[in-house]
Amino acid sequence: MSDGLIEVRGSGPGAELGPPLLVATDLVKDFPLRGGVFGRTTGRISAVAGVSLTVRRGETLSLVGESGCGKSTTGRLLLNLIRPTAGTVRFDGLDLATLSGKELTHARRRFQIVFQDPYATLNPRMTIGATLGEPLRVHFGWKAARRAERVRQLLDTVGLAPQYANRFPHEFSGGQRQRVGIARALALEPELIVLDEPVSALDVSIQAGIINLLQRLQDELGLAYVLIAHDLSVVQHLSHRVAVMYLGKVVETGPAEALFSSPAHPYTQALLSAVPVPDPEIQRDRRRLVLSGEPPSPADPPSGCRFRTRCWKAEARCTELEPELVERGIGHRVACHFPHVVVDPLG
Amino acid sequence: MIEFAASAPPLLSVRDLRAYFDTNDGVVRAVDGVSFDVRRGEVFAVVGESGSGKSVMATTIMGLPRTVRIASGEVRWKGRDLLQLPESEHRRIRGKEIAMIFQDPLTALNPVHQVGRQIGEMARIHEGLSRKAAGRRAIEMLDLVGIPEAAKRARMYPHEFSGGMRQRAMIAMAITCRPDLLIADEPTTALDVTVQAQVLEVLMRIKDEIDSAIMLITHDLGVVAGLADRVMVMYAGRTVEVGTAPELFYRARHPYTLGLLASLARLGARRDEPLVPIPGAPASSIEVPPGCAFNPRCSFVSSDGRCAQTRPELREATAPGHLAACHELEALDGVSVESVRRAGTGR
Repeated sequence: MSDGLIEVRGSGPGAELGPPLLVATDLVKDFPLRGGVFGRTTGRISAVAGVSLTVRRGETLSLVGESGCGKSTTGRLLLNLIRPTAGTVRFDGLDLATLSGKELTHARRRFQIVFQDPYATLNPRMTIGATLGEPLRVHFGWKAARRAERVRQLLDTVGLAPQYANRFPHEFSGGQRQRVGIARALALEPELIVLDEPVSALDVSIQAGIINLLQRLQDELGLAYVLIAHDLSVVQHLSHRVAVMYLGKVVETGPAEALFSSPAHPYTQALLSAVPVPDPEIQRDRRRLVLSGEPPSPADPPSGCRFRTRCWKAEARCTELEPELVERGIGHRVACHFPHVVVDPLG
Repeated sequence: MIEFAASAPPLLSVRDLRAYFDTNDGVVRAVDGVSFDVRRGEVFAVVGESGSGKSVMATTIMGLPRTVRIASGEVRWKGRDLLQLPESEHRRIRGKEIAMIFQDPLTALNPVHQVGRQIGEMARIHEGLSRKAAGRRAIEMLDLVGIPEAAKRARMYPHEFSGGMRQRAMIAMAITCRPDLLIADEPTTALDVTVQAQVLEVLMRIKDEIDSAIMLITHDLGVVAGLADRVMVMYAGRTVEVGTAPELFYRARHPYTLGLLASLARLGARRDEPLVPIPGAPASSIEVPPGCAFNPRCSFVSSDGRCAQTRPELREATAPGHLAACHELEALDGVSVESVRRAGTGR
């Protein structure tokens, strides 16, 4: 799987983007499964079962998949918020697992996270100004006046008026709170931000503003994003590259354009075909690939290809042999024994 | 009174429904003057953002919320006003003639009873079936919603079901007495897209089989586009626009509907095309702006101040039955989702 790390750089979307910033190799994360009266470990769940990813400077890599596919766990592994069972994460060449506590704190300035529900991560007793100023004090030791100036600037960057610094989280609407969440992530001028479902808790009419903001910030600040999202319309809008996950593994990855226009893995095809399109004529005329069943438990994944129990193409080979990610085009890799490109998943 | 285009008498006819909650912070006008008809056998979608009153409206029709104050209005069901019925009569209709599917089946299903028993209970109460006959009916219903090994599953408890299966079980329960109207409140919002596609397919198949109408309450315009015959858009507890699906999606007239459609990230759209958010935040139903509730966010506000003073009535927009509540309807002639998008992106 490590051969997947060497990115083929060529023409196509994303090619003009920078060098690798974050390189994850063969990441595995097992969680113990506890049961019985004494809560003994009765098994293991591999939430992430061997994932390799590369994020370049200035690009958005999206992790998509359904609940339980391991995309959020992967996001946390990338930031070293949880320790991997196996595998490494290198940020700008630094192996995060080998860093001392102090070095890690230092490195953490450079990568931040924005959560789905900013309300849950904002201290209700702290003004927004205090919340945004906190990391500046901790990391840079700045005095109040200097912090206030930076807070004002941060609020302006995310489209909030300066007087909001004196307000408390409950005085903000959902969209404004998410802007605060983004401002906080920006405070230490990071190079990479993990966006974990950044708009899915917001009303439709508010989502667009946040999506535009994220895109503008990337253009202006050269940020790299790892976007974790289940809404594929949003993913398509923000991504340069996409990795589709199923039961802890990447089943298909590639430039967003290639993946959305010619998905080759049956799961990606089914996922795209299931996305409802807000247009009655298109939506009613589409050829739908409705999968049967639901994802199996990650505690007991199927042998061979993990998707085979829901796949309409599955044959004996899929039960026996786990497919590797195989290059199909520039940077477009698919883990399927019978990949076949559907030309227009919307049609 | 508004003229609704109608051939056969409607199944359900709601007129000027106002449902308020008295709270310490003031009166919450959750439903603030809603009028619509649901016809036999149709899929009638109700669309709105959080706080638009769509769920309170549904539960009010069902006679469920105990704390709600009905300030005015009629809910005519087959000619009788449900709001005037004694509880005992209402209960006879609820479940038998009008049934409801909730977003979260885990809170709607009783965790300590077998799934089959809960489904059979409907038939026992409403049709006086024996325990045995009700058990058979439950299995039949589970089979109908596509649950494999229905007889075995009927003896299981809700926690032993997966999310998609629980939602199917709830559909099975709702259709046990072959209701004339199924009210589905965000029936697939908690589900993954591939499972959502399965559940919606079941819902539509069932609808044809038992020949019932569906009132589909959702915020997902993609789901609406695929299923709805007619659509009502709600904002701050009011109906802002109602019409057939093509009218709403291709010839929307209310600025809120137009804004909502223009703000969506769409599969297949260009990545570099910015999205067009609706400015501001959804109106609070405690402090509803005077006049048109949408006017503080509207970019088509009239110069004579009407929008901030007088509440607009529903008027015919592009065809009989296509109604919109906007003072500036005439000025909006020729405005489309595309033109709103172009104006918003400056292209």
